[in-house]
Amino acid sequence: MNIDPNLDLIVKNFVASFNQMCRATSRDYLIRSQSSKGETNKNPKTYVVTYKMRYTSTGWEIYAEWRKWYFFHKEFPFVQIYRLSDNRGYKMTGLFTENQPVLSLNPADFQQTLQNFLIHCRNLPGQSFVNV
Amino acid sequence: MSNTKNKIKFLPLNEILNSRKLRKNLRPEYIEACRFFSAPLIDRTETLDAGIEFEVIDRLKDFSKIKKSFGEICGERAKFICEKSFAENRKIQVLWSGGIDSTLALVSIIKELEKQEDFARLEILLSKESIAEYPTFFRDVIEKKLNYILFEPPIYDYLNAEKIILTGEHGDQLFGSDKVQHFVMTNQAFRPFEEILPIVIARKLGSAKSVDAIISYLIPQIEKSPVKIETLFDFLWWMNFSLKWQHVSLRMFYEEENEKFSLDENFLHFFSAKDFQNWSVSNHESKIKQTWNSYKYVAKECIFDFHQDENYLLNKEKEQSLKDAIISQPSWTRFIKRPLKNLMLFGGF
Repeated sequence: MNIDPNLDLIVKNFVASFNQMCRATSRDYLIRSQSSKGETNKNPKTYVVTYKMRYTSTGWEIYAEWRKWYFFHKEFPFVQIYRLSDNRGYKMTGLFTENQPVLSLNPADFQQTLQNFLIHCRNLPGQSFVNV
Repeated sequence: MSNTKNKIKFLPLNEILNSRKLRKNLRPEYIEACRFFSAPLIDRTETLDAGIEFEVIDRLKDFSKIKKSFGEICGERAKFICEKSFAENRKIQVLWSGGIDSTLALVSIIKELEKQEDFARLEILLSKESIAEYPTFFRDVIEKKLNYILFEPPIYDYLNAEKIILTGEHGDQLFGSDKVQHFVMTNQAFRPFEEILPIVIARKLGSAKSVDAIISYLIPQIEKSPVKIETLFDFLWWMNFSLKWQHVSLRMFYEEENEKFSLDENFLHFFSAKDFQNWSVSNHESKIKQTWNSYKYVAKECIFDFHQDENYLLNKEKEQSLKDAIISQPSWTRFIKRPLKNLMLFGGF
């Protein structure tokens, strides 16, 4: 898929800003409070994560990645930005995206919508933001 | 009548996830679904194929619309338990965690025993954590006039099989799920479940690999719900109500001398009565409003009628306190203590 390089750069910058925001507000980790290995494990597992971006056939996917050395790796999906079939713009799906408007093809508007989403995420309760 | 000889009533999650012998028989989707819910799943509608047969002890079949209020059902349940206590001449031992469910169970029993003026029949097992969770109730109600034992976990040393043991279990299954807390707090709980569930599963498991398989596996079960499943909250309630119920019923027996206790004989869960289940299905809109503080507000209002603590009414949140009382040691030490065959307490697998 052809991606407008301006929009691509905005998404890359958004991911960088998002990581910055997460570090500044102590949200750069995810907690799994209930173990998937057994109910009796009371200790929550913490994953220090970095948000990353990759391309999909219709746009971008942003996910949180936890990696330990080379072998241990987990991915936690976060949001997808996909191009609408009528080419009106892009739409976000995933966590916390329920009230997000269509992202316009205009780079300035596109950037502003992502910036608003970042603020929305920053304003969510921290414990709930990091809990998976 | 179906043959239940070789069916299993209870399986610990560790066994499902780690036992090679079991995993050979269990369907992979079932194992992944258990991993996602952090619980062994036993389908009370008998729709899902787990790969092995479970004996369902409390089938979900017919529901009837119920017009009784939640408070009325609590009163009737307490009356039944107290009458049983009188008829069998057994005392009632209530496990009080200070949480909403066990407090409401206790309040209901107190109100019933008040009519008989027979508080000597009641004994409350509580811990320091119980008091910390609802200090005003302990100070105003329990400490003043009731018999209580302050226990140090594990609780099993204090349970008396000669008495009727009463827990507040199944409150969560009636009202929703404690798993929904963070989704409510970030407004994700009331989104269409089809939209949000895949991402919730993938995040919990740390991988998107099994998402489609788990959802496809659960779809027939979702369709069996008597309440239309639209949101993530609906979904998590129905899964908890239909798949996790039996595990909650039996999990306390799993620990120690289970032979002494028999479910619904000398070991009762207050909220397991059929009327409560019918209430849950008939009053789906009364489980929560829009905020996490309102979760179980119907139950909190019943408590408030008895003990006017406005802070508890408005701000009390669901805690996992009973489970903490049950668990006293890390799972690996229990595994060493009890060989596999002893873990299959209720089945002949």
